[in-house]
Parts: sequence; structure tokens; C-alpha cells
Amino acid sequence: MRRAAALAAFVIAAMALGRAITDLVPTGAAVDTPFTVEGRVGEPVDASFAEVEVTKVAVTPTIMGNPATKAGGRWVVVDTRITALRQPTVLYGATLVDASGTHHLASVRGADCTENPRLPTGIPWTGSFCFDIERSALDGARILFSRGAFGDNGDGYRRDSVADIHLGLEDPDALWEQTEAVNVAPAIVGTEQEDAR
Amino acid sequence: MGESSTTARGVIGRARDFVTGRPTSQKVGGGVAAALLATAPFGGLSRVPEPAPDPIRLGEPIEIGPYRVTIDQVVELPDLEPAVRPGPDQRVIVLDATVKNTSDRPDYAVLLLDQLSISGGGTVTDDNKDGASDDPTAVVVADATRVSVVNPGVEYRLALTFVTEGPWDGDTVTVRANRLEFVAEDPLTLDNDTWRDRGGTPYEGALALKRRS
Repeated sequence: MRRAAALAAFVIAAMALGRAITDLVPTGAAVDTPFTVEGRVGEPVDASFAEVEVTKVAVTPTIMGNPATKAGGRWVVVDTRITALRQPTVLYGATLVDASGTHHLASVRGADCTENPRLPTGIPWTGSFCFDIERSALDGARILFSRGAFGDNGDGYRRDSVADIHLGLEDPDALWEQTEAVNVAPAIVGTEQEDAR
Repeated sequence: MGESSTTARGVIGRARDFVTGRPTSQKVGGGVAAALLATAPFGGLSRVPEPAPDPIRLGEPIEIGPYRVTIDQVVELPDLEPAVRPGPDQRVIVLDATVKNTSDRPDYAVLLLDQLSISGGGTVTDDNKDGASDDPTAVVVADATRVSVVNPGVEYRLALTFVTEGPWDGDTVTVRANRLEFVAEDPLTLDNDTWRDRGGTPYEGALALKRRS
């Protein structure tokens, strides 16, 4: 009888220990956390799958084209050069994240804006991502580039390399008030075409 | 008279013996079933009536998942070029609406479009000229582009367009919208943080139709 009670107590204690480990040890973070490489505008960032560089950022209410495309808030146009390093890659994740951690997705409403570029190996791809955002999204804005889409709870980044590039938008209020339209050039592959662009 | 009374007592007695011989669980089940049957004449077994839809009125916002939608007018047009090009006999019903993503997550316009339908005066085409569904399309009024992504806090004035087989019959369009519920964690499907139609009270309203040629 005493032995049976001891066995029952042992089983209950083992279950409690398992629950405590599940609740208290951040195993999820160890499984999900991406490998983030940070950078700034004009600075190539070496993520494992590609070298990523944001070359220029513009804020505008209008993207030129036929028709010109009006933002619901403002467009943040992010000119980018990306070179896949090891194998052809489709980039599903280009997400603007603001100071509050809110995510904003790229739009293809604007003429020649890009959403999911196909990157050949070793040849630079140059194009623009366009984000239609509200005012507060300019505060502390940065772009996360990843192979997977953001998805629910960032599951597209799981255990993968992510390039985290801070846009350095100083004086967001002044940027918000800009009215000059921006022209977005078509995406191209190759350095010679890039010069022509 | 005395013979029938004796027979009745015999039947009741046999029934009492039968019940007495049953296990307690069967007695309880039988009692519950009898109680349910007893409520039948008073509507106990009737289907519960579905609640009436919440009204849709022009100029008044409704909440459809992450979107706050305000329909300002409903218009019938022969076309909405260059965004929507119906056939020669077809018409376009436009819900002229402002749509704002009031949540803190980006979402796709298709989430809203899947919830909307119109009825009461004609047939919406199956393909709507842009896919295999009779859902509307979402066209930005400012530039006639089609919206796909709506980021948090961004508001658009949209033409939500339905292509119909012919001219609309009548002066009102009944607009119906499903209500969505946010599911943060779904242990059954593991599809977390999504908006779902869980059969909540929908919105519905008969809105005045304007005709333009």
C-alpha cells in the first residue's frame, strides 16, 4: 500500500515538473527565434540567404503612373538591391515594422511596386517595395526582409535569417506633409540594367 | 366498469414492476425523456428562432472583422471602366463605402469581400469578370486600382462592385454582411490569430438604389 502511494506521488511529481518546464522555460523562443542581422539605409546587410541593401527611402501621397496611385495614408517607397547568395530565392517577406511593433505589408497598387521578387543566384535584383501606411507607422520604421512571409505570430521568420534594416526616418511629421509625387522604376536584374535605371 | 378498472390497475402494476426492476441510470434517463416530452406542447422541442440581423443603414458604420465599413450610397452603373468592364447587357452595382482597418494587424481585402452579398432585385454573375466567385471587387475610388492589402489604421474610399446579369429590379438593394470573430488560439485547427465567421448575428439592410447611365 505504501509502495503504491509512493509510486502515485512520484507520477504526480513528474507530471508537475513537466508542466513547470513547459510553462517556465522559454522553449518556444529557442525554437522560433530568427537569426536577425541589423543594418541601416545605404549599408549592405549579409543575411544567410541574400545580401540586402536599402538604397533609398521616400515618403509621398502619390506614386506616379497611369493612373497615379493615391495612398490611403502615405506611401513609404523603399528602393532595394538584393543578391541571392547561394540559390535562386523567392522573397516572400518584406514587412515594415514601426516603433510599436505593428507590422505593415507591401502593396502592389502602385505601378512597378514589388511584392515577392524572384532572386537569381549571384545577380543583383533592384526594385522598390511600397507600403501604404498610417502616420504612426513612420515612427521608428524598419523593414524586415525574410524568405518566409510574416504570417501569424511571425512564423514565416522561424529559425531563418532575417535582415532588419532601420530606415532612419528623421522628422516623421515633415515627411508626412510632403506632397511631391514619387516615380517608381521597374524592377530589374543585373548591374548594367541597374545603371540604366 | 369494475373489469376495466381492474385491467388498468394491472397495467399500472406491471409498469411499476418494470420500472422498479431497471437500474438507476435508466430510471434517470427515462425521467429526463419524460420531462422533455412534457414540455413539447409548450414549445420545448421547437427550433430556437434565429435572431434578426442587425441593420445596415446608409452612413452608419458596421464592424466586419478588422474593418469598419460605412456604406454611403448604392449606385447602379452600366460600367466602371477602367476597373470593371461588364458585358453589354450586364450592370454594375456599386457600394460606395469607406473602409478602415481598425485592428493592429494588416489584413487582406478579400476577408471583407467574402462577407458581403447583395440580393433582392437581380442575379450577381458568378465570375464577376475577375475570378470564380460572386464576391465583389474592391476598387479604390481615387485611382481605380484594386486594393489587396489594408494596413492598420489606413482608410480607403472604395467602390465595392458586383456585376449583375441585367438591370436591377426595384429601388432597393438588400445588402448582407457576415459578422466575424477573432480567434486568438484554436487548438483544433492550430490556425491561430484569424478572423472567422462563427455564425454570429449578421448585418442586413435594404438600401436605396441610385441609377446612373
